[in-house]
Amino acid sequence: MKKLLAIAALLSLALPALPSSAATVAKTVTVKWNTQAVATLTMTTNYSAAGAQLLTAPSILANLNTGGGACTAAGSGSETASDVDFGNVSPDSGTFYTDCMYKNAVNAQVVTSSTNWQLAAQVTVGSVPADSQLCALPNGFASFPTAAASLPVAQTARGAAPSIVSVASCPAGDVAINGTSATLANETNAFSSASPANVGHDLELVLKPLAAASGGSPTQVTVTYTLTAN
Amino acid sequence: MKNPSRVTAFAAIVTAFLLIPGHATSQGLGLDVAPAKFEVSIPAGTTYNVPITVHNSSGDTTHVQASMVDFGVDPSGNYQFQKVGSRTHSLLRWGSIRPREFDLPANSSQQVQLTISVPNVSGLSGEYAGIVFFQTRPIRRAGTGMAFSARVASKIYETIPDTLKIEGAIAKMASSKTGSGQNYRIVFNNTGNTHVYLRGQVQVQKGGSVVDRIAMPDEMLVERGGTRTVSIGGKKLPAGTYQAIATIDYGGKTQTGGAIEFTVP
Repeated sequence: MKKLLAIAALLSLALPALPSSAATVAKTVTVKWNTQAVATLTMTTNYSAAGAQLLTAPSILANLNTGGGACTAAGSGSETASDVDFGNVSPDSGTFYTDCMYKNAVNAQVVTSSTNWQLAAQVTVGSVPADSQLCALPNGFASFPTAAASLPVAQTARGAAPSIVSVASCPAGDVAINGTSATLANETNAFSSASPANVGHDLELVLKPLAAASGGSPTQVTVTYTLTAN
Repeated sequence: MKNPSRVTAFAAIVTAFLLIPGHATSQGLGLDVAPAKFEVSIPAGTTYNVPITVHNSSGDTTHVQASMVDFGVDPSGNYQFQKVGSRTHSLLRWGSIRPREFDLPANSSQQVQLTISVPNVSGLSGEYAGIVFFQTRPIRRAGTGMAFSARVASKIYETIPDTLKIEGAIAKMASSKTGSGQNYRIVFNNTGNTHVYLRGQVQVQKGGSVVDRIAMPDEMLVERGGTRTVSIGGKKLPAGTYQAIATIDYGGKTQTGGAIEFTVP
């Protein structure tokens, strides 16, 4: 009997210790999430120093390559959001190319959490006639495609339209805007809304000598800018 | 004398008129898409819904069209978009989207549901891919030369569980002299069944000593079954015989390597 009492007393002493030994058992919870990439593409034409859409008359520079062609300095006199209008242009009637450069034509602004993305441009409706060519000339970086880590808004630094005397290809560093997709940016950097990527460019319209007239029905094309996360 | 409050009101209207329209606006085209990339692993015979949010961040109502495409990446890294079902590992042949087009007022969002129903057939393995594009409809105006459209991709990868193989190899190497130095061309073949991203370097040796080391661009995408040609420029080398050793990390268990011997005349 004494033995039983002693065991019971020992057990009662041991019991309070049980909760503290139970507290040492660790349980884990796995917390998981999968953050998805987000992407924003904003485009403005005839863009300002702040990257905003301007609806005023654009500035178009001419390089007639000593010929008798013509560009219209102010395009159609004013601009419409998401359009680029060169207005009336005339080719040379002899042997010279006519180059019309629309300053600050397009700014494609990208905000994305993706650290691997591509921006491309392609004519998706209509086509650039065989006797003409459209070249995109980069603003704020040397050549397409850019991979710069910082791309603030940059307007053109060109004081004259470069001489382009071919409709087969654009000069090195520029890209042709036509039915084939042209890569404008190949980035391995994310860009926040506080510091977005601005891929801006001038557009130069190149007319071959004696380029065919479009008459009362102006040549129109639609250019699609595509943002794809790699 | 005229009522001063009317004069003030008139001045305020004129000022507002001068400030707001016609000169500069932050409008244009603006489209946000989330997720821009989505990876999922579901077995054959199951259906999965992917909600995609499209937001119009411009100041005007826009009309958005959704479309599904297959895609590939060419050896230079440029995307090629094709009709759904034209590629062997087309994912969106099993996909549908709802709604396909909608008007989106300024600063508003629309959720689009992509449904992927992977058929219950044997032989499916590895990764299947596709893109859902969201594109603004361009407004064509009489007399206008060029109109623009913004298109943002939501890229979807689906893998059949437990079938993924990450494999790749350098298939070819070459070196040629250029005006500014030496060019190295490395061809990588993705022999696995999923997309991979490459990074690597070329080490140029002469008599066992390293004379040049050139890093490849990071994060070069190679899709399933694809090839990537990496072309990088090194420094000008004096006449002699050299060895170029390329190593590429493609995310597999081991790196892949290749070596060539070349002579600079």
